[in-house]
Amino acid sequence: MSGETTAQVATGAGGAAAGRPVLEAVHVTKHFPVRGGLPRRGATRKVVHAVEDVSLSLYAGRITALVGESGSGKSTLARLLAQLYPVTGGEVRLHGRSVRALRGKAFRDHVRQVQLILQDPFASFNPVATIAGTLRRAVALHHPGKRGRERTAVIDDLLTQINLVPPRQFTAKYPHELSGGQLQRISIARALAADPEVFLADEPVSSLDVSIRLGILNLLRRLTEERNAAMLYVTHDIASARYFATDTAVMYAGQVVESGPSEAVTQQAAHPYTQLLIASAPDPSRASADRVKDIGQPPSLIDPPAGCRFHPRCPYAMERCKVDTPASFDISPGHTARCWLYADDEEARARRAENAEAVATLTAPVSLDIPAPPDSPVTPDSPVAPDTSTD
Amino acid sequence: MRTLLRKIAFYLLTAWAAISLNFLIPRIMPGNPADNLINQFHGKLSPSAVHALRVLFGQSNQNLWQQYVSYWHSVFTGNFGISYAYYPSKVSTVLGQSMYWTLILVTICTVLGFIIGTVLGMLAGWKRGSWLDSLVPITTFLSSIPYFWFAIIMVYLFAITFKWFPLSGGYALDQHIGLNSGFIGSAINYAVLPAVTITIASIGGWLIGMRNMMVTTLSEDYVRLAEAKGLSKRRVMYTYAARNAMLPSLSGFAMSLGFVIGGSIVTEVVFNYPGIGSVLFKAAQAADYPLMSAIFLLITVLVLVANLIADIAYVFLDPRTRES
Amino acid sequence: MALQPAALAEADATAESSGGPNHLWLRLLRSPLTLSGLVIVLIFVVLAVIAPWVSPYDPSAVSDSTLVGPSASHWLGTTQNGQDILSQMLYGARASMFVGIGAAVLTTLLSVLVGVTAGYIGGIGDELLSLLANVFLVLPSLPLTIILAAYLPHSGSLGIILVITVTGWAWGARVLRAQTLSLRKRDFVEAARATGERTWRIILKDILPNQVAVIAASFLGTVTGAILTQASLAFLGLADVTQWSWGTILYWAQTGSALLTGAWWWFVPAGLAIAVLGTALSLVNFGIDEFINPRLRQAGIGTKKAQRGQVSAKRVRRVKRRGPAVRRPAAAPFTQDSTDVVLDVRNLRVEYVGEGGRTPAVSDVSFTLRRGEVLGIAGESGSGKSTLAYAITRLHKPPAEISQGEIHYTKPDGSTVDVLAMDDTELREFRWEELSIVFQSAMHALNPVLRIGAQIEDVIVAHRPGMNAPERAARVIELLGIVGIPADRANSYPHELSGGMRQRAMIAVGLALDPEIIVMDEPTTALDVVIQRQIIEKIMELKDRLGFSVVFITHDLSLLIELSDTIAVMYGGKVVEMAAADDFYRRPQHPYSRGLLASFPTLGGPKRELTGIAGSPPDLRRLPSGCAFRPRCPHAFDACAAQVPQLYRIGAPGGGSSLAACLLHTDASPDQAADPAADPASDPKTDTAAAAGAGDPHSETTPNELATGETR
Repeated sequence: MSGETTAQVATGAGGAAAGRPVLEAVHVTKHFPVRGGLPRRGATRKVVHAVEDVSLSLYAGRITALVGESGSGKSTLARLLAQLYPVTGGEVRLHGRSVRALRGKAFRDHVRQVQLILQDPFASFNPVATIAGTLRRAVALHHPGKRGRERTAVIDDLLTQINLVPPRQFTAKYPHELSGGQLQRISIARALAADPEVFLADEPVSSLDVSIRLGILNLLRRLTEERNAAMLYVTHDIASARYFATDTAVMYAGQVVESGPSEAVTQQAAHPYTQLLIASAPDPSRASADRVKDIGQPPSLIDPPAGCRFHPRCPYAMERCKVDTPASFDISPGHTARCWLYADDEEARARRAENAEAVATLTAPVSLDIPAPPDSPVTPDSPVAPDTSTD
Repeated sequence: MRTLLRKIAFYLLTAWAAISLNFLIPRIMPGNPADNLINQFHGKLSPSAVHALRVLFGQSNQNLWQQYVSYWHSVFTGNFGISYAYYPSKVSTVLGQSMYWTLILVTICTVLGFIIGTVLGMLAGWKRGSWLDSLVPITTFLSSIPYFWFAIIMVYLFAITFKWFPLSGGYALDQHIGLNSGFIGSAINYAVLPAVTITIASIGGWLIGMRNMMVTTLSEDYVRLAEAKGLSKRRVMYTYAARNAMLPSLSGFAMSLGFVIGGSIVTEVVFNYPGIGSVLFKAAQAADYPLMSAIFLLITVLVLVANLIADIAYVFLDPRTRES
Repeated sequence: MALQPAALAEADATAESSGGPNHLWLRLLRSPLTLSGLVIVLIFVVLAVIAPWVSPYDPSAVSDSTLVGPSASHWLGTTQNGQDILSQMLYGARASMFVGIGAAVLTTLLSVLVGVTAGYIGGIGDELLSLLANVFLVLPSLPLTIILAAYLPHSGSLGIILVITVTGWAWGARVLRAQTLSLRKRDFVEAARATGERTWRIILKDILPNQVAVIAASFLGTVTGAILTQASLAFLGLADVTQWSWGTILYWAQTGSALLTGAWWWFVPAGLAIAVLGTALSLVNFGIDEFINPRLRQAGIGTKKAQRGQVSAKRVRRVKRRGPAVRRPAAAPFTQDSTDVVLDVRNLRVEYVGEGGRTPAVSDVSFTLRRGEVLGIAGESGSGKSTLAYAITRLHKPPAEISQGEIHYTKPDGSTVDVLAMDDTELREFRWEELSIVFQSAMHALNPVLRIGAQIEDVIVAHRPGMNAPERAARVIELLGIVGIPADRANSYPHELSGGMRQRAMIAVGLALDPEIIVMDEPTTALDVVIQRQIIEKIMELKDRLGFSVVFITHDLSLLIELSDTIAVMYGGKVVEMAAADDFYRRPQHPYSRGLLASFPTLGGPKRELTGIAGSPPDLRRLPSGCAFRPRCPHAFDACAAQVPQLYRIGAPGGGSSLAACLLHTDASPDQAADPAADPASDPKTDTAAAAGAGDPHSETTPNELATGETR
């Protein structure tokens, strides 16, 4: 058991991104009580193990992606970092200082430095308030000295920063009069009002149309770079993590299973779950038409499996996977996986070789240069990945 | 099963709250109703009756807790003391005589009103946009009418003007109460007008609720799919739309039931029907507090039982409530 | 990155007219019922206010003209004591409405306080408060009111208001609590919290303004209820019977035996007034209901209008003869040369008929679907793809209407039928025997109260009346097996299955009758990638095994490229490009397609540059002139604003060809033409490069891009 993933990512990736993390989660655990009536006598109250012993660090000027499926705990982790929920165990540190700021002034101080951007732009605006009204509240909170005209000037400046010009065209509008892309920009503006050091973007583009996603992501990237802010990019789309984030952490059933530089995690995925995720992602740029045969689904988080939480679905699972929680193993500098395949013993070596062979062509590109033969919709000349699952 | 147990626990709690409320009300009300009542009888009350009245209002030398315990004792033994409106009958006797009239009348009317209203509401929702829409303002009007006023109009039209039905009472006075055909026939004859009044007046609420839910349900994907699947209209309407649409009606049963029962009570007064409503009216007129609180308890228990039945039906109709 | 200055709505359905929410309530007044309700209420309020000045008599003044019917001097007649009933009614309006409004104000305040507090704080406080509300809700209120009123003998209006408040707050509190709970989970409340907003400001600015409609409804409902309760109490003699209210009038009418003496004018007006006011308030409430829940305005599906209003173009019936049921040919792999057309859609136009005119959601869409083919339709929100899916299955609902075009279905026996001319019976046979649909959200498309097995069996019962129960049960098990659901799950309810399982069950429903065509409307959009992959593999496996054709609709272009044989890209209600999937991926022709393909991050190979597309998808109500993509197009030139591009056929060296609706391809022949030519410049790299650097659009679409000799 080791939670040192973070430190390794820090020193490993890029090297240049030095210094201390701005915001970090240290062995953070979050359990939600299961709702439903009064607690039963005798039995302990059931909990959902939403996040279990997760450590993650965010650095200034860098984007860290947190990838996982729904229910993996990725959004919960973002909200724990935003201090919207109290942690059950572990701690959240801002500039190395532990914070527990759930209400009042302490919370507002935290929020001033850490801002959350939500997934659905249509839902994240009060439908009966104008854009100016919504932004004015954020400005009033974070620029308490400013009044009237000055506030309007701040709002105009915010809208200009996110490329909504001229600002006056948007301020008088209601949310339903704007498009998803415009609204998502305005939620970013709302976050900017606090001039934060950390952005926590929870699936900021998932509910947007494909053609406008890129614009939003580029905006977020520009803001991160210009302000030297730290950014957590929560997503279910591992391909976008590859393009957008310096580092990537993959979550499964409440735990980080793999993390490291994005290119390493997506191109040399070590954990069988990451491999499954990559194999499943629709992507015509890859040749491997033959896919993983996986019929499983994520486990119940009320009663998660012992050992590695992925072992019931894992084609490479060994005996110890059912019993012991995997330790963190270094794959390459900064790239770690919590998987017993990387243990230093006979069985693991054998399994590891098996796995390596199976996923060798996982991200091999389809060749674009040779036109396909007329009657073949699939390119037969490209290598086909063997079935990565055994049963 | 757990859902039901929780429901039963809830109703027990509610019953406890109602019974305790009934204990508290006489003790926290301003003024001195006990003395007023005793004065009204100009010394004709027996000393034990006076004592019972003072106990009711908490004017005894027991402390509050002891009073509460003995109050519970009397609730369980059905000993609610002596009625002043029907002096010297016991409260339990008065209730025993009147309870069945109301129970039968209100049960039949509630069930009829629920069924007719729900079916009409289902049809009105299914054919939203057709002539059935005109049912909405009509039933709205009917359900806005005070029950007792509607009863007056019914009496005026059908008992006084047309003389189709008897004017008031529960049965012809020449009949002997019992299970003989003459009495039952007469009781039915006397019950028609009150029953029609309560049923018609209660249909509206069910109809409108059901219609709105039906219209909402019809735009659900599963109804669209059922249509697409080529199922018969009846199957789509009953099993897919109505089955789901009536769930909120059932869960709102509590509120509506309270309304219907309240309305029936006042209606009974107009018809001079020998049920609990008329008794309550008389009790209220005579400030017969023991009788009133006993009636309140009785009605509460009946309403709770009816709600429990509705909840059981709900669990039966909605599989989602059956677990956890 | 340039942005469109105009407001661009993205909703697929475009019938709603818009305006700021502050003007939305004006829509309430458009309903004649709501408006008349409002007018009646206002009249009553005015009469109550001015009663002392307009009453002809003192309501309590006794006179000699006893029990006189309506006359010139006493419009509503007189009582036993010769009191003027009109004056009593006017004064009564005052008291009744005072109680009604007073009780409603107090009750609503208490409801809001308890409901919003409970809903917002949550936890144990919420549990206790809602338990309290539920207890009060179940307690029969009128008996309780009677008892309370009896203990406060001859209490005035204030006493009654208090009693009504105590017994009546629970309903509103419960509704508001539920609303607050759901609002609290809404993103904008979380966003406000995350910006550091104070709780009381969130409640005041975010929660309450969004509950105005519900609060108003609860307020009006309580007014009616309170007036009724007050009347009941007064009628029973439990209120102060010397104070004139509508209830007291009825009390004196009852004690004065108005009924027996036939003095109908004595008891009719008061009851009528209560009923009319109550009705008026309810009508206003319906208006609010419809405002909150716009679905209430839709026509029910049982009406003729809903059934017939879908196809506006009159059409002549064609082929009627039904050949003997022929098994379709064994599943054979689909090739691009296949000519076996099962579905032929020609120039289809679907419009939303709204107050502001007709909005075309699908215009001039043509395609053919061949046996065993997977036709992928890609498009962003507002592209009209879902409307198209519903239109070809004729499942579209008013206000959507097919105003133009033809849809022909060819049966396995070779006979062709006109789908738009089908009557109900034919349509019923067509849907599910020949064509079935898999909806986007299995959670919503499965009936929550029926077992999975029963929902599959339903189809068989409806279409195979000859099958007996054991045969049906066997078929259900077989179908579940086909889609990979264990047989014992037939007895499960939808909520007991996982998302992936539910979607499999939906597919089983679609397969129940072995259809020729399955239309899938975003069947995997709600699922995670891993589950999505499982489902897609299953669909493809079944398609190869059973040989049906698929129309697959999604916004996910990369998924579509992987699974489709042919791809049609929709934009602004039109097909802008159609090509074999592989050709499409290698040689996208329309600038929009190129932009889309350059928007997807890839996992394979080295990272490539993502360029994306500027701007947002268009609002179907305000499509730009000419080409709908023009404002976002990097290659747009003057002609693009003037001319709506038709589909041009562009050949590929391998023999395949694409159709693209772009004036860059005007040199290519229009779709219908057939000019054999070669296309040396279709290498995607040169193409993209040329397009990217294009100044003069004509320079890049030189004679290179000519159509090949392909006809469909």
